[in-house]
Amino acid sequence: MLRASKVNFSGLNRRSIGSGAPFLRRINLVMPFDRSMSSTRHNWSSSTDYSPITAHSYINNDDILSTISKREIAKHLKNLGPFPSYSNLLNPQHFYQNEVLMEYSKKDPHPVSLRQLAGYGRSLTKQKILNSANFVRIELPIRLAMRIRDLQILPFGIVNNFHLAQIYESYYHSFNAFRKIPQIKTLDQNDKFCETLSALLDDHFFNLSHLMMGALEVSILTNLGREELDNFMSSMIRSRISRRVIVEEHLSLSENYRSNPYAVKPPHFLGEIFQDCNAAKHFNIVADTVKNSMIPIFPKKENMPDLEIEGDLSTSFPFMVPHLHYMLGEILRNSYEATIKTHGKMTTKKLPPIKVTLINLDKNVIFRISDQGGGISHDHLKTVWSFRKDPAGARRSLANFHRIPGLQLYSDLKVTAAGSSIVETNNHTRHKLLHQTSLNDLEPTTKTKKSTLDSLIDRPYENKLDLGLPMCKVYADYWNGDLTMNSLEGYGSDTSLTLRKLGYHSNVLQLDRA
Amino acid sequence: MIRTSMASRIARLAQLRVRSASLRLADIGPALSNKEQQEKFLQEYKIRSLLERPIYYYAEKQLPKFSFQRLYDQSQKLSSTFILQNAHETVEHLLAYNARRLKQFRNLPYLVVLNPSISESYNTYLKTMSSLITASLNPPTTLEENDKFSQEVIANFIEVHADTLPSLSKGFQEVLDLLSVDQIKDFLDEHLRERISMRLIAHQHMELTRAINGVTPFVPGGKYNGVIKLLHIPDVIKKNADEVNDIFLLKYDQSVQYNIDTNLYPINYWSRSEPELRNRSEHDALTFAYIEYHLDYILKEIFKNSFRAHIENHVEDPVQITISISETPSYLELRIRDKGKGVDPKVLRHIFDYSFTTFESNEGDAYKTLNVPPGLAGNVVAGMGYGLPLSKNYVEIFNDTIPDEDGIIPTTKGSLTIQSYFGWGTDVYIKTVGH
Repeated sequence: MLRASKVNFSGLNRRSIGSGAPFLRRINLVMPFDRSMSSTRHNWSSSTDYSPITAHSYINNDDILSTISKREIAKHLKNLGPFPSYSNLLNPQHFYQNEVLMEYSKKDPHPVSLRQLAGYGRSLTKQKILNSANFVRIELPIRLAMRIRDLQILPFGIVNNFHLAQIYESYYHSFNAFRKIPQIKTLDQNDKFCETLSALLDDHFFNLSHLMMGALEVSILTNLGREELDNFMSSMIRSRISRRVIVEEHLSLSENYRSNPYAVKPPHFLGEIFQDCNAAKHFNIVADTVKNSMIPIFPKKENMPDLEIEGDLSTSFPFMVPHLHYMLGEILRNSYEATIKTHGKMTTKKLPPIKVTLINLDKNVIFRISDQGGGISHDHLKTVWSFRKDPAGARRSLANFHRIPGLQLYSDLKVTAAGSSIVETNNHTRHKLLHQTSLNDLEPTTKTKKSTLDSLIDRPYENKLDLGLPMCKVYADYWNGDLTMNSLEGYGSDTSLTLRKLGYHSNVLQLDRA
Repeated sequence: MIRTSMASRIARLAQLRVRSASLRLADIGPALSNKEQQEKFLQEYKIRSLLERPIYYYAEKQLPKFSFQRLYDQSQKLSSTFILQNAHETVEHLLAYNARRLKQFRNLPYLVVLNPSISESYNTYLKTMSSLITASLNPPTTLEENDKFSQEVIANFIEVHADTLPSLSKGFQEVLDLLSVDQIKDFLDEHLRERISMRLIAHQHMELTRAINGVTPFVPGGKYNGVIKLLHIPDVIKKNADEVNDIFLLKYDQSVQYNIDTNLYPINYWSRSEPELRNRSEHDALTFAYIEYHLDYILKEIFKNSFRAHIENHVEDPVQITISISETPSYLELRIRDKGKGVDPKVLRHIFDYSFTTFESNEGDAYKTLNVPPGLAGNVVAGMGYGLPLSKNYVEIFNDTIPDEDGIIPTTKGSLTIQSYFGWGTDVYIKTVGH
């Protein structure tokens, strides 16, 4: 049986820190597959006066200098090389083939404005659909190329990380597949193109989880600075959001045109992917989901904090529902968790409520979520937005990540016999095309597969990833909103989410940050 | 129906190639239960994170600063027990240097290391790290084991890294637009210096092993059991000049004459006392303790340049090599004087830069740039562009003004300098100290 339970994830050995060797991270390793090996070891750690100054005295049997560890390391060290044996893409020719990408990365992406999205939607024509398709066809490789360049500039030791390397490959694969698609001139070609797009979205839960796990692992090894990591993660995620928005918009356009080619939308229509959201209603929906996820640690659902909503209850604004749910979910989850943890064992009565204030302005809506969950320290407050965790916290999150059911760690990147990347499309019938998109939410009864955000929103409480707030911030930033947090240590925290009213800004807003 | 679905399946298989995951310790297999999944991911993560840690661990280790004195100490202490301790220490030091190289490679941008020439170097260091870690598990405990260790692990280490420089040079040429000139220079400076140190440690152990085994003369307590030997300088000069001439005979069907002259009666100009005119034999006066393969390399590089200049400018006169050796204070000074028409001042400014700096070299130039990258000039004689910088490093590694372990700053400094008389010829001065 595996002895994984013996792993000590609290990581840092305070003794070794105090002894002036901060670079040493002690993880108590148990290597179950080595049980057959004997534990005799040469004890060369005994120093004579000929030994150089070392940190030998800090190391004991369980660490990297043990016989077992050394043997494993020696055997597997070649895996730190740049060309893993499982990869189709990463080989000595890749460097030279990369010339193509360098050309693409010099092109500027065309920013997408809301007006553009809305304009497309008002009355659809065949030409508009084709224009939209070609726009997507050209934009995607450019934006992918920019992110791939981001990865290529990072130090090798970072991108060589198992997860980030997967992302590199996945992005490159998509880049190669899309740049080869010829111009779309007929609606049939557009249909095929939509299938490919849909399959592309399929891949992306894979990418997001790898991105997050990569960030966690890098935090543990602490080989990338905080700011660098945050910038990198933010730009990757932001780009991901923008690519998906573009793709989803096109998919929904095509779908609508197919089902109802002659429909004309009202003048304030903002695009398929936006819905009019009543703030109070959505808060309640999300709160219920969060409460359900807390049941394992607090079975008495009726004693869970109430959501008290005050302010302008009629507040309504157009937004993407899944994004809204994700952000509200993360914030509420934090509040609920904090309240339950602080008061759950202290009282048998109903826990103090979480108060939501809805502020409805012309240009913005502001939500203030106040809880009595005990607050957080100011030191912690400073780093709560960062993707970089302290190693102990990162290990915890990583362990929880590994627990997410159905997490797919290895992708199936398909290539043709000639070796060129293709995005494989299954036999998606048309109405299933939207399954991987956030639009899935709109038809809960026909939902079969989950979108990325859904899976994350639904996760049980124990799988605490600690990346919720940084992610939320990226989403809020993407929509030119804002997310801040204040705290009264010992009492509770207040989170403030500002979202721009998209309709008001449709003329001006440059939606998209590549 | 069945046939078509089979056919389509076969066709699909022919079209698709799912990559196999060989990095994984376990197979992908059927869907796992949550607990199994978690344990599997955990194991794989532990292995992966384990791999990087020795690099950090060894890279942080303190290394003693290099000096002649240290090499002499080892030679004087040589005994059958000391050699075993030295074996252990050698492995630990090599691990530290190797780890530092790996760390620096890993700091380069991702795309740079994907370059096949650079990754070749990186992979070589991974291999030797692997074999050193294995060696550290079983350090030799007898003279026989040490012999085996020396001939297998150490010799292999030297051999595997011997030819990495041309590849590295080519690689950096190809990534010029991905890194700044300073970044490349910093990397290469450190890389070449540490490489010299690594090879020196390895060579020292090999020489000590040969001495203790009687393959070479062993003088207990003597200073010259290791890699530093008493060299007869004129012999070394002749050896290298002849080797370069051999290459030139093949390439140009010509060879170059050379003369050696020297001050047979050393003048002790540091002292206020009367100069001593000891009648030392020619042989004695011209010996100096140094590391032969270092001197070989430096001389070969300089001869390649001087001789080529003579040949290309059809100069009949010989190249003149002057030796000046002193015992107290200890120094060796060499001047290689050629009449190869000199070096253009524009070129001279970059003479110690690495090969990737581009500058003019017309057909008519008497003194073609030494640092021509491979593939451009294509000839082995020109080397791969690191000749002079590396030679300079060899000299400087023992001769800098950084205080040694005891805080003493050497008063005399070794150096490699070039004085050129454009249109006439070039003088190259090598100076090095000993003890």
